[in-house]
Amino acid sequence: MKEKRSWSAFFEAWLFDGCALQTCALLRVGFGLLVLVYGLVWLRDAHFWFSNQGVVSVETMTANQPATMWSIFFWVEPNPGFITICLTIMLLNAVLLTLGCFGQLQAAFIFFWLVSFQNRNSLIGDGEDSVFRLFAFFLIWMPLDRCYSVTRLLEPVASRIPRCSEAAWPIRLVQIQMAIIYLSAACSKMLSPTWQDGSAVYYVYQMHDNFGRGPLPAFLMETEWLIRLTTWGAMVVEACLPFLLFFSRTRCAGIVLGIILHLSMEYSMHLFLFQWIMMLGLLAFTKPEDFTWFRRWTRKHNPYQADPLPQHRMLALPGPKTSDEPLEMEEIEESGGVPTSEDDFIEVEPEDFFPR
Amino acid sequence: MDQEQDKFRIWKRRAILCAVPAFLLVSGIDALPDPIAPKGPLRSVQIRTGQILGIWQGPWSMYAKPSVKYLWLSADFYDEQGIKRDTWNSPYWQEVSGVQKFVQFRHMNYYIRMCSPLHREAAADFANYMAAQRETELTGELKVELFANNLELTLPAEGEILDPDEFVWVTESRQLYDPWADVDLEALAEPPPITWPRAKLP
Repeated sequence: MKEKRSWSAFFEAWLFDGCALQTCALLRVGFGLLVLVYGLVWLRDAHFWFSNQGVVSVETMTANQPATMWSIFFWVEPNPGFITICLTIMLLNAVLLTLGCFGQLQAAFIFFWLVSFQNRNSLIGDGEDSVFRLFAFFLIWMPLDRCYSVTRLLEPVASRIPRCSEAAWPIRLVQIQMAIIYLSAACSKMLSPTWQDGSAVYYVYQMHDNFGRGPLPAFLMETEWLIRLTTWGAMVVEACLPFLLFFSRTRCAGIVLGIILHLSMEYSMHLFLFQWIMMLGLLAFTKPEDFTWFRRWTRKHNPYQADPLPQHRMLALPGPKTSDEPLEMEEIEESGGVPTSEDDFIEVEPEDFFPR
Repeated sequence: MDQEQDKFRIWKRRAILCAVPAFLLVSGIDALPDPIAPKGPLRSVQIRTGQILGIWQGPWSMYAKPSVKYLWLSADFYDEQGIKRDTWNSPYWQEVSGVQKFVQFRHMNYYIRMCSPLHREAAADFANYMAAQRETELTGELKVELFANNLELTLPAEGEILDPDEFVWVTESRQLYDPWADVDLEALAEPPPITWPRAKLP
């Protein structure tokens, strides 16, 4: 008879299960690139927004914010030179994060800069700034450099930490945050009369400053039932996404549906980097098997790659039995295609690699 | 040594087991829409905690209350004699290209925020900044009168979907910053000039 697991045991297992190191690397690279674009746009008008010769003084900002909001620019005079130096350091942190050079430290620095700059002038920010700040906070706790990173590349092969899986709780924080965003948005919409009656999308469409990026077929906003269906559809998708994403059977469908939702919004609206950071957040729901499947698929469909040797295929993750993640090709090549110790093997079924 | 490491691991695990639900609680309450968000001391503690840790977020409305409103700022520059020397308008975003909207996204947010009566002090700072930028030896000290202008679509009641020809647009212009506020100008109580720069019906 199966033993029934308590909620606390389930929760503990959920937090400390293995996470895909590739997911962490994916979030690291994606976030690093987005912060780079985000910071470059800030840099263009940095003195205008943040310096003491800019549009808003530190005194005005501190007077209008609670004392609990902090920023380095409330303690150090934000003269234009200092602002440029700080932003340049942030961009450097973003580059190093993307490359995977002491990723967690870079994420901590980026978090510090984001809080400081966002609080220095909160008049230019919106929801996406919160997502960037929160993601930087979550990345501080993730094993960011354990694959596809400069740090790993520079480590001698012999002294490398085995690529066993790490506790999943930092990734869970990202997942919880994504669920909170969708549920909060769906809840706000359900309380709004224009979303209840199905007319909201039509009126959002009239906001020509934000909307109207890509051309939409005219009938879409001329047919009443289609307008109401689109409005309710968007609301239902937002409400269902958290549930789809957390159940293993619907997880992939949830990720695809979410990406379609954000791509369609990116096509039709001007919202800077919001849709891209949200799509990155959806990728936090990927699992190790997605990467294995993707790697197999690319190998199968790559006509330029010779069929790897069978012995390579039999190599798998060394160490703990918590993951069945296979070694990367470059690691196999570095070790001359042969295992360095007995631990480099785990038992695998031939069917895993040679499907009938 | 191993025992110490094990102890550390156990404490770390316990700390995470407490921190994650705490994060869920703080963020969950923070993101609740205003009508259903709890009020009182719990809310205040949660807001302060989020702000100190840098993880505040607030409710995610995402166009929950669509208000079709085009906002722009305008400013009149006066010299010491009170003669109007120049005028300025913030971009009319409908006419700006997609690339410019991306690059100037922060400007869009800023001008929209400035139109809110909540940011009076920031409006004064902005007016002074603009005056300082335009002051030359020829003009001398400049005074800037700042206005928030908007063109708003009146949404019909009962969820009606109106034809664009039936839309009712309302325009409004409000003074945001009065450079003569400290001066007793009651004798000259003429209403401020209202400007309608490039106001167009979409």
